[in-house]
Amino acid sequence: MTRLVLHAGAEYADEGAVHQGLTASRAQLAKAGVLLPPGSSPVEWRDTAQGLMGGSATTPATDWLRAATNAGQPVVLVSSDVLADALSSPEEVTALAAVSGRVGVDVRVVVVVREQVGYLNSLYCKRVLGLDTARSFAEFATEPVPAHRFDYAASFGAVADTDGVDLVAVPYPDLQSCGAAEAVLRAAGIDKTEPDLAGDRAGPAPVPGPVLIGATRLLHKRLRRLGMFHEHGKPRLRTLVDRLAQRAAQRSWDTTAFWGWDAGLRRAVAEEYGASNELFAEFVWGTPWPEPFSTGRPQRTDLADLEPAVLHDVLRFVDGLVEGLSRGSLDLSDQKASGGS
Amino acid sequence: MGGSRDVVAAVQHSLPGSIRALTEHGVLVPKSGRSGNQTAGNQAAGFSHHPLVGRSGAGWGALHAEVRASDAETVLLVIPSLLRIGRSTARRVQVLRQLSSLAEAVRLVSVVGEQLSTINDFYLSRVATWRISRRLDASVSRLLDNEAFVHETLLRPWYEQDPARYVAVPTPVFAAHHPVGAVLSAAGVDLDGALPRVVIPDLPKLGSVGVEANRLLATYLRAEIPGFRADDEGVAAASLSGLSRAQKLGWCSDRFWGWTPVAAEKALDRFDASNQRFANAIWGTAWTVPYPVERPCTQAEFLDLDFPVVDQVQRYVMSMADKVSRERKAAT
Repeated sequence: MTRLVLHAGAEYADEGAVHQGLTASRAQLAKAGVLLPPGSSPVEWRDTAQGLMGGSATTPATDWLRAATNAGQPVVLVSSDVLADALSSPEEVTALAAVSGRVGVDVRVVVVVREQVGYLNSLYCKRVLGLDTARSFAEFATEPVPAHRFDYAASFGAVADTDGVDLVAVPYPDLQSCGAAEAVLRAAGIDKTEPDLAGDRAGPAPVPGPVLIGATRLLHKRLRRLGMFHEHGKPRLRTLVDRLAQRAAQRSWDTTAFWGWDAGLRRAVAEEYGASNELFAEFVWGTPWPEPFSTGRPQRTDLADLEPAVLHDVLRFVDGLVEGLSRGSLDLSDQKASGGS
Repeated sequence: MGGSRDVVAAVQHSLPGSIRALTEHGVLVPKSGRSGNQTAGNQAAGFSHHPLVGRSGAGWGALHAEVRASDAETVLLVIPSLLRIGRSTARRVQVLRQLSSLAEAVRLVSVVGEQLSTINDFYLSRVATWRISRRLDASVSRLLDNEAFVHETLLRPWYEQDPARYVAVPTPVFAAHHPVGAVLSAAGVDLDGALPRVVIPDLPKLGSVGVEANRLLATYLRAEIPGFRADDEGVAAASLSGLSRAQKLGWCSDRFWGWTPVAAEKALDRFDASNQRFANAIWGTAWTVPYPVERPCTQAEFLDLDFPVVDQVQRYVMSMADKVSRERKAAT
């Protein structure tokens, strides 16, 4: 029987490393009997994942799955962050079980779980740099959206309670020790005979510095003031963040990584999720939760406290980008444009 | 002898309109030794007798003549700078000698308040003139080192030789009365009901957004203008126009309070014991002016402001920096 492995990667829990590792190793995995969804972008895989959910018997995704099953494919693996949210719903999980019964596949859900303190810190940076939020870290961490995503017992309780759907979990540190895609494959019980996956990245993505985070929030707010999101769309505006990041690297704005937590807020969040983590660990592994909550000294940005030369550069560069875009002298597709210089 | 900036401004603002009533009730506010540009639109500006205690010490002769020619029972001199000058023993003795030769009895009146509000206002004035860019709670240790905030240290030279000559008015008492009436009443001249009602306009002070904008500007200026100093020629004038612009932008309409309760408690460790000793020495009682320790901190975070305000602040910072640079060049 074909095994359908659903890697329900909550947004950025693995910092995108599982998807990268899998797509980079598509050929190797195919030889090992693992079929990945068509396309290589997270958006294309998201379409496949959404097509498998929802209970509809005939979608391009279910047709694709049925074809793979009929062809005797041993493993079909779909990785997408939309699965984590979808699988938190008992109705969606029940529908998935029904579809898998009709198609004739064995479903195993693999989730990467991560202590929430470090996770929220990384996720915040990712969302800021993606122009998805300009909120303060304290506001973001106090009311993370969606709230259920960070509580694994609540998120995956429905999967655990549904017959015909297996739940396995990978602790985030395992991604660093053996490669992200490799860790997911192992957890899914895939006995891979190939050597190590060539494109599987080990180690977490670097966390950006507090000045770059502050400068991006400033850029975001100024773009919003000028209505640029409506005019250009977020994906094109993200090229400005790339330029900001290049400038930050060139001028050494940052000497530390962003760390948004202060002691009180960290303690409150650790208390909020600690008990739920233990409950989840006991259920899936039968052991205590393996990963301690991260610690660090606050590394946020009060722009007025920066070195004058750094603040000057930040304000001038952001202003150059915003004014260049507003005047039409900045080409969003041209990485070499000098709008912010 | 003054008090906080608000106290001095209140006295100076209410004096011009009170002079006729004061004269009718036997109080002379001498013209000699007085400074100030009392135009119709700006009657209070600089109203003081500071020239008497300036370096030149000019005006005492004319003052003696004016007092001799008057039949007033009381002479009122407004010299806020006495508090500062009194730190020099020689100048203090000199001023006291002159005052004693002017009248049979001399009363020195100052208004004293709790230090949290005083330091908060002092911080605001430093931010508005780009002398300081850090948050108030990050600046506390330096601010607390300033002995001008310790009443006992600042005023003891005036009262330790002759306690009867010095009178302190607590700020709540001052605030409940006509500013000039409160000062005279403390000196034993009760005219409060005889003085015309006066509305004291609030001094423009930066609110939370104004503080953030000027903190940023203070840091920015130090890169924009190499060797920038807040005392440079042209900078003071530019800071006044900065305050005026902040007012127009609505950044002075809320009341800024930079103390967190924790920082406020720490500050009181520094002041409370000496306030108690001061109160005991002057009033023979415990210190009675309440400390607003629990007042909520209103310090904003620039990047947490709404996006239209963030946009406004950045434009303010960059255009004001250009202006400061131009005015400084013009002045030098």
